Amino acid sequence: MTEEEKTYRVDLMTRVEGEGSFTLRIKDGEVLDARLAIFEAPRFFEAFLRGRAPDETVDIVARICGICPVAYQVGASRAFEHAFGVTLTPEIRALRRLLYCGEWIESHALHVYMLHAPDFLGYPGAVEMAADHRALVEQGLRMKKAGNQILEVLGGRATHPVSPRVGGFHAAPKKAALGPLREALARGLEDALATVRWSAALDAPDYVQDYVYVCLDDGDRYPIEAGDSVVVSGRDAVPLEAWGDAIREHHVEHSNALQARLTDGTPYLTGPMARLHHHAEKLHPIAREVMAEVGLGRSEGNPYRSIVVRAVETAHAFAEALDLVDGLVAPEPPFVAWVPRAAAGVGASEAPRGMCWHRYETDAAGLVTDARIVPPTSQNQARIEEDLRGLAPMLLAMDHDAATRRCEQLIRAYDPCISCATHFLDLRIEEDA
Amino acid sequence: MIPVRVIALGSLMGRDDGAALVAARALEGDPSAEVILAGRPGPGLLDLLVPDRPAVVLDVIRRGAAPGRIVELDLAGLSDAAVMGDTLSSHGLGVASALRLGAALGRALPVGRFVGIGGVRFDPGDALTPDVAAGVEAMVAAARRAIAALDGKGTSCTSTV
Repeated sequence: MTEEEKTYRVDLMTRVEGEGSFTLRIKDGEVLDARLAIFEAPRFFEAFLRGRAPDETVDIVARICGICPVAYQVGASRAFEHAFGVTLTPEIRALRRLLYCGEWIESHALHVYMLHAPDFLGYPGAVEMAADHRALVEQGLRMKKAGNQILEVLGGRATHPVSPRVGGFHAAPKKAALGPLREALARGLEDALATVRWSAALDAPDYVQDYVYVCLDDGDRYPIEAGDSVVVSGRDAVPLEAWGDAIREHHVEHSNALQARLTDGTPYLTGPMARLHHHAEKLHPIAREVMAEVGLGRSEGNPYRSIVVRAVETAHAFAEALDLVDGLVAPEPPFVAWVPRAAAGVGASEAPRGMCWHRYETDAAGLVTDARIVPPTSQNQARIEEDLRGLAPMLLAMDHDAATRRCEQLIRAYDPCISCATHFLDLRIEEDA
Repeated sequence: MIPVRVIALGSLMGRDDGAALVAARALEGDPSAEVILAGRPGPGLLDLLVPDRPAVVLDVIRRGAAPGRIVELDLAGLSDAAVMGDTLSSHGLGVASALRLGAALGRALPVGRFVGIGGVRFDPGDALTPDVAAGVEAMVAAARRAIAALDGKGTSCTSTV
């Protein structure tokens, strides 16, 4: 009997954050190879940061990603605050959390509507989908715009906010500036709740996995901008300082990003599904209510249903942002002063797509002597490849093109931030002879 | 008079990807231009393209133009000139895709010009490659011509979005 080998491959994935490719090879029902090849920027930035001052570092790491600059800024800020013994005031913490809600909203809205929804509705991309689903796309853009408004009001601008600094903010917004923002957030919350109901009704492939869920623990709060320990399914919690030793990062031949696994080799999942699994009871009551309404459990094991979890988190972010705006007390001064010293510090936050962990060492002047950044996508990469392997039996019953699209949809479910190279424009220019 | 809106795209930490931003900084202070360093706005670009506000979009071309070469197009013609690469990455919507999305949504777009510069290196780093650095001056000149052609005049209103 002739052995049949099938290869599912996409050399340049679309609708992911950056550029990557995947290959899945199956022979006689057995997976020979599952590879996600990605380009990832943070590794290059680590060397670039040596010799930089803390606030300069906060500004530089924001450039790692155009979608989640706040995650990098907050992770770095927290690491330096840890190193220099800085404790934020409750008012500054609230402001930082509000800023981070803005990033969750704009990133989640972008992913749900512009990157992932076309998979469910059968379109090659958001542009094509928009022609037939104008109201739906406008709803997503409206939500994203509201998230950007938070970043503009608190961060000074939506792309690469300039106000965050170690210890807080360069400037705090006046309460009067938050009035128009509140209006946008109230509308956005309604849009987000509608998004949960819409996404829960989408037809998702039946594919449940047994994940090791990993995310921060921030006490009685749903983890967003802070957390001092890491919770891991079925294992003891890990102090944030020890997380770098709890995982093993290694190079794989097919990718220039490091893949992270637990030290026993187990791949793990970080991101919205992990946060919901560990902390669902800490969601805003409005988010919990809509979650119950659509029948979403806390331990969603189907990656294709992550779109619903992301929508629930978006509703949470809108509801919490409204509460934070209503209760805002502008801190004066807007930052806690600090004194540089030779030290090491760690900091992490929950980026929209998962935990982002930083560690810095500084000299006596506070300049960076060593930097290590573990972004969420490098932590999820091994888990994505495991998911691709597990998909094989389902794929064999499908035609080749549909099977390839099913793989792409799976990878996109992770909202991977593969690189932060973006917006590149390729032109076809016809020269006169 | 309403100044022409100059929207510069890219990242200063991506080597040649920062060329349009460098050029745009040279235009700050021009009373006939409102300069917006937009970075990588993705679909947010649509919010910056206001129908009654003439616009000049500055961007870097990854493929299809030699390093440092200046390409000038009507904004309306950009979608036709751009190839698939524009949609390959994420934050995804580049200027051509954003324009296509706007058209699909029935949004009116402003009259405007696109001024691009060919780039060659986009890895992390803050220095333009020599050919691209040498082309920035020509990009600024092209942008000034575009601003003049759009007849935008008014008070200076510089933003650092």
